[in-house]
Amino acid sequence: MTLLQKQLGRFPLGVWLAFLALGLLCVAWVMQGYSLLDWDWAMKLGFQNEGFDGDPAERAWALESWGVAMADMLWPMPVTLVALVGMLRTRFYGLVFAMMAFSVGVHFPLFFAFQRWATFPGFVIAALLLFTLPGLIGIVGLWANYRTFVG
Amino acid sequence: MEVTVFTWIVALAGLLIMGLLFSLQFVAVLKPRSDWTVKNVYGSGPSNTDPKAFFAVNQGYAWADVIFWGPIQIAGCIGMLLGYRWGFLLALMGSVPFIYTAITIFIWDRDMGYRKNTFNYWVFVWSMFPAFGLVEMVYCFVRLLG
Repeated sequence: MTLLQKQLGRFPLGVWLAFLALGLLCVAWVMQGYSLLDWDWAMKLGFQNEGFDGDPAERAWALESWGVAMADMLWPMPVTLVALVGMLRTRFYGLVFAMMAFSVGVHFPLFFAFQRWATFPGFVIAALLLFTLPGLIGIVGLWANYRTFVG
Repeated sequence: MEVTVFTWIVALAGLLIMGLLFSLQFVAVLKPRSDWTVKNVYGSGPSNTDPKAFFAVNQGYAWADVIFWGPIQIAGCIGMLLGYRWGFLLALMGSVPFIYTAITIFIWDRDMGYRKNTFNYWVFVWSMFPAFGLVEMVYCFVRLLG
């Protein structure tokens, strides 16, 4: 906890790590948003794994991925943006929204992992390392620096 | 933090709803392909799509809920009842997936043809969860910022 509370410029280390985790989540939301606009190109760029023209299994996966991408745009993406604004302004609502964003940031790679481990282990490991792990560190980092956002 | 009557109502409802969901998902983890799980947890059969994808999609949610969502929701509700700030924060975090998964399930059920236009489906299978999530989220948010 002491290390996470070490002041590095404007914010303590734990808060910077939370910013990093939120930034990574923003990358995920950009990838998901782009996928909704142009699924075929998103597949070519590696943002999505399954297309709508494949066999029934691939189509089912594509539909599931489309639903998750839409959910990401409707709910955690706005929450993440409010979190970033609130944290930059050192307001308590920023911490609260960041915790809400991390809740999804930890949860969605977990269900992705258990769904796709057999078919796309590389993507699973990437999702866990890029979103779940930073999300968990962000939660601890913010909790360690709770007082930064109070008052 | 002060524990009010409304804290008790929200926390007990959270324990009840997540207790139910957690138990069902735990059964899905233990018996992923049993008839009982397909009928009572997944709520639909794999006949509309590829069985491998059907079971994998449902198993993903089951494991994630048992490992992460269930524990933070239950711990949050207990923390709320004990009057701890971390309890309200965890419960707030636990409220977020109620709304998130409601959107994904809404789309999945629509696209796969699993949606049933019945009172039971819309109230108990679908809207009960996001409705509670919304109430819990607003309550915890107001209490934390108050």
